[in-house]
Amino acid sequence: MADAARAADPIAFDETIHAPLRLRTCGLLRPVDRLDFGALRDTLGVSDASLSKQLKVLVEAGYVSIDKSASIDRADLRRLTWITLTVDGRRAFDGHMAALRAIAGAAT
Amino acid sequence: METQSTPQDPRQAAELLETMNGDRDRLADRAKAPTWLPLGFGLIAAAYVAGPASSEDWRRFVLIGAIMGTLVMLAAYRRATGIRLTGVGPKGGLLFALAIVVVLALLSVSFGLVASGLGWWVVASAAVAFAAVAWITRTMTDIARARITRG
Repeated sequence: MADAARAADPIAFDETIHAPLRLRTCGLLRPVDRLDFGALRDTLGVSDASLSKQLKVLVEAGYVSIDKSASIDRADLRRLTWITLTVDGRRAFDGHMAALRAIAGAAT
Repeated sequence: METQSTPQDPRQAAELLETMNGDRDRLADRAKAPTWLPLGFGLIAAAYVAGPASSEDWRRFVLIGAIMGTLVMLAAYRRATGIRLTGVGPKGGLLFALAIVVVLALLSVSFGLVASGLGWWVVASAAVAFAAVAWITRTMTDIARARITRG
């Protein structure tokens, strides 16, 4: 069923998403509701600064939203930062992935 | 700003897709259920199923504790993994329904055992509830991880 939905994705290459780290970020956010900044950073294996920079671009494009929530188990009042792929972000990512698969398909 | 031109090279596109598969595998590893999660849900189910052997006040306390415990454990799971899942899909939904059916069926068995004067046998139905719910919890997180891997 997921394959059928993917097949129906309009192919639309998105230059904002295509930058490798932004593409990988969207790829991790796509199958979940939201990810904590730390989990995203550790999974990608990048620095806080690199990830923050790319997230800012995605937020400005309206593809990602960031929500800071208080953490009851932290005495220093630091907040958890949850990152979500927006509806526009999902649409753009799905279209971009369809384009990428079409290009990669030529290799097989 | 990180920029990159549109790839026309199929091999470059294939490499990008491969890298993303690796990312999802690492995220799925992170979503693995910590040992305490199935044990915790199993214990909640066991306490609930053992309820008929105790007083009505205790049963009410266990019910409230079960609801609170479930919420706390889900929050702790999200906190520990840094992941909020979208859902577990139709298979996970079926397993959740199965967990409810099993717990309610075992609760009925417990009531029957107490009514028959076999109160101590409630330990057996509680043990079955523990094992079933712990297994279902583990399986549901495995299903969620498989969904992450598929993307």
